[in-house]
Amino acid sequence: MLKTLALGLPVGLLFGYALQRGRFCMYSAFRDLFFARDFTLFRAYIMALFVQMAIIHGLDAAGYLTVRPFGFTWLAAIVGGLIFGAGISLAGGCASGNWYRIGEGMVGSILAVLGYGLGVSATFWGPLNPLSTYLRAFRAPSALGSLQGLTGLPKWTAVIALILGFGGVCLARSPRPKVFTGWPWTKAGVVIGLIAALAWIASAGVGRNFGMSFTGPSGMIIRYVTTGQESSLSWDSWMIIGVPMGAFISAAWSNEFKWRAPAPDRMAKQLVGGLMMGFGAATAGGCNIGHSLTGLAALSTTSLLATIFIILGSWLGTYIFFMRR
Amino acid sequence: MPETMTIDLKREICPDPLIQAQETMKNASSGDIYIIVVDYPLAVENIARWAESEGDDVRVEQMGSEWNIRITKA
Repeated sequence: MLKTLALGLPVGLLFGYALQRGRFCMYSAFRDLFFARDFTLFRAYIMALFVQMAIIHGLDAAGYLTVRPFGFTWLAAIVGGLIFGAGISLAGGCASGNWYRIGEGMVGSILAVLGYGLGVSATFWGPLNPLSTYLRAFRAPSALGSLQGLTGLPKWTAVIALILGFGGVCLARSPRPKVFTGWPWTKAGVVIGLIAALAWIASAGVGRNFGMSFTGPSGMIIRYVTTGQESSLSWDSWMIIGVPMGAFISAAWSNEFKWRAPAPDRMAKQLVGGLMMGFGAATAGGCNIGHSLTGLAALSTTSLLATIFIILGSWLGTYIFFMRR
Repeated sequence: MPETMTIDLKREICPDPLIQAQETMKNASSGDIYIIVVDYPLAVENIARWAESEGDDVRVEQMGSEWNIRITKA
């Protein structure tokens, strides 16, 4: 357990620090594409994705890491992604976004994170499990589960094509926004990409072949607290505990820490949003981190599908819950 | 005659600061000045960048854990 803690917690501290400095919220990144015509945070996300992708596939080729895609659970990715996406609009932030905002003193995010963990637990081990199991039974052939399998390209061609094609257009055409109260998007993207790669390396130290993830550990912590089962305190559970701590250090340092809470009805919505996020992400097999940052970097087709539907869900949720009033 | 208006969006969280700022400024005329007060770090950048993309002049001032975003409508 000490080794798991020692390898997990520092990565979480760094991640929380970088998320707060970079104001890196993927709900905002996804929503602003449509509602503010602002691609800045989305560019930071793509940058983080590609930095991580290049490093982990390099280490995989050199034999230091094992990078494999998820099974192709397409229906769960679509339905779970949509529900998770709508949930993050109600919760006022994505999975990592709410975890780090606890460290800024946002009481509503505590409710969102509790709802998220409860939703994940209810889906993994509780009454929502049959529904999720039903959705996860729809599988496409595993040969199509990786982007290289889907496109028929060799893996490195797929990696390079993604980085040059999508990344090149996205990065080269970027405007230069003037207002940054934290890190500029380029720095946020590179640093978060490096930490995401570090997550793979650190967790390989405890025999875990995956990178950053938030859904599993959010449920595991609830399970540990309610059952005392020590195996629930996995690498990612320790990592995630470090996130609000790292964000607190960053926020306190820059004089941005303040206890604050939105109106009571808004907080109730954050709790409901958290529950939706939990069911959605546990069903889809990942959240905006497990799928959009880590799984997509591992070239999972399921992660690409889930990410597309998380984005659509966040637009739909923002429209339905906030624009129509 | 350009007007100056202060919008207090303290305590509001995503996505409300952006959406309420957009809603309030929908009928703004050129030269109007809006001072938007937020205490949500991310909202500063959401609102400022949206206004930048509209071509407005944007200035941001931090006062402890609050920010004043001063937008002059183009």
